[in-house]
Amino acid sequence: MYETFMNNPYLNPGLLNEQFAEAMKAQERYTIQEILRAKKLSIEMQRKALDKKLDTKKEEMKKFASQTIVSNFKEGLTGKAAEAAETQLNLSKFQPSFNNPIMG
Amino acid sequence: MSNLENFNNIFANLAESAYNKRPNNFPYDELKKEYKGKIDDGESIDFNFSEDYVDKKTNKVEVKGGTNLPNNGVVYLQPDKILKTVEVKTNLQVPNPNGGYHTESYVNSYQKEIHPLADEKAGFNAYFVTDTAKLDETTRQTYLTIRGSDGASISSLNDWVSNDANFALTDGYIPQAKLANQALKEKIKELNAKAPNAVLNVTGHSLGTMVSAQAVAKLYQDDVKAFDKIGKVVLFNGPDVTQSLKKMGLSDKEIQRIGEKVTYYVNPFDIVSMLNRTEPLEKQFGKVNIIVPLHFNSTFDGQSSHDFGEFQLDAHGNPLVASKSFHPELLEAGEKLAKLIDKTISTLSVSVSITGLAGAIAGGITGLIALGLTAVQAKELYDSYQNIIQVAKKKSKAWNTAHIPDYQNRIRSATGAQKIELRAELLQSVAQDAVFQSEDMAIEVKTMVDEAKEKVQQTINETHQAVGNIVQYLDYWEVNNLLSEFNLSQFWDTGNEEEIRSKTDHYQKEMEHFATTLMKVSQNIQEVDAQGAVGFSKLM
Repeated sequence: MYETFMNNPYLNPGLLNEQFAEAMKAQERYTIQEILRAKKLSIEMQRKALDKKLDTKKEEMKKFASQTIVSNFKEGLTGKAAEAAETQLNLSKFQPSFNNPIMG
Repeated sequence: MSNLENFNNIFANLAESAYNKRPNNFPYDELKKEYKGKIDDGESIDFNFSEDYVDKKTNKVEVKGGTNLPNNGVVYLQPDKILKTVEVKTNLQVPNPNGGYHTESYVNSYQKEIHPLADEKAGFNAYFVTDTAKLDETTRQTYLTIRGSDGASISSLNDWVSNDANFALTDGYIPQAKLANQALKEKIKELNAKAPNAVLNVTGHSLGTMVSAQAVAKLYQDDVKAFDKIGKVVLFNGPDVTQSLKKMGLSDKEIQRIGEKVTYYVNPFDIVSMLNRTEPLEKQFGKVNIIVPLHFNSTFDGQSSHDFGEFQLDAHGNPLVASKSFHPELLEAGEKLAKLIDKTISTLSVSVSITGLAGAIAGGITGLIALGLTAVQAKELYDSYQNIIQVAKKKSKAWNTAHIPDYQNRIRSATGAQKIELRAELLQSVAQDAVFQSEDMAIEVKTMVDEAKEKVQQTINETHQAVGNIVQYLDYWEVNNLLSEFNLSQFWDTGNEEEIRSKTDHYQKEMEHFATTLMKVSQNIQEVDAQGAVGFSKLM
């Protein structure tokens, strides 16, 4: 059947092959773009997940300084000394903010 | 290298000052020019440990001046130069009047300079320090401080090979101890002649502890009366010497008698400290205290557990120590490390291990391989060592969590000195907890970032691979073009990554600083109570 097809004088196999290749290329381009889109989406999800984790950790670090330690040293430190210590623990150095390194 | 944080303990000060490149140190080469001149002229030079030590380059206080020190922290380093009259006998062949010869002897004498506290060849260096400028009837406290190896490094291999390692394996009477014993005898003779009311205290660190302990024991063995002139022997981060003292011919009772003057402070995470310490602490030589170190590090770490910086000294110079009721997990950790070292040493052949032990201490895992262990064995040992530290850290955290509320309750019903003591212990636990938690949080953030970066990179790699798998018709250049922007720099902001690392480091550092302040408060509770916010801020 292929031989009959090839012997058909009205057909240009070269052109057909070229058209086929172009169609396949177009399909591949489309597939690649879809892969890239899907993977970008996956990275975007990773970004959001990291955002959440960094935010939780930031809050944990802040809470540890401003609440946990303050509550722990009660009875050990008293009066104005305790207040001075608490003020220290509420300074910005104990409240880190993180910018997500994964770019959206 | 990490130095003492304060000069509150006179013995720790002197033991540290015997080393090179330390604050207020004694080695001649590092003295100020004018001090060298004085020493050369046979005069003593003064050091004041109650003053802050300020780093000349940064102009920052590196070590806080000591409080409650004997003689208000002032000590005098005595010159180590003795002029001895040496007599040399010369025989001459003199002709006889009646022929032949006879021998006539002439004795010439000359002054020879000797330095009994230094023997470069043997690696022995000690310093004689007193509480008066000159030895006289008013002198009360004198000290012989014996230098250990200058850090556990290749440069000090000579000390370790001929002394420490030999000691570890054979429990011998080490060569430097013989020299130290001679020095003790000389100094006691000098005290008897010039300062009859003075005692001679002894201190040392690392190798210096073995030298000190053996020298003092030998003094007892040779001359009990001279031994009576020994005051306190306070030793830091050194191994137990009981077996070596037995080999020197001392009985259990004698060892106990000598040990009554001896106090050790040892770091449970330091290999050198825990050497030969498999027996219960009360059966070891002297009174052995396991410290609560500032960090939970190994001997090999930058901030080594073998160094002075790990001691937490209160206002009276007492190092913070563990007990059955205060961080008992550290006693357990020390015992485990002692057994691990013992097990390792027992598998070695002497000929390999003499150099090997020194190499191991100097070179971490590479050094452990030098011990004659296979890489697998060395890694196992190293991992077991790290595991001991990590387990102790976990237990210490749990101890703090369980005991902080308990302390608070007990403080509420306590009064007077007991209340102060409990408050101090609470603050020490809070400080330690703050260091641990901030360390953990910093590690968690960094791990989080590392994992996220790895995952992004993995996704990028998978993308490239997936594209590679489907492409048959597209040209190479076109595929590359489509993927050209799908790389790490497109999705990962290195600047933000660095910023996170720097911010977590900063948080941890600031928390350590705060914890250090709490430790200082715990040492000066009444003062801080009286001064309130000012008192706290002064220590911050």
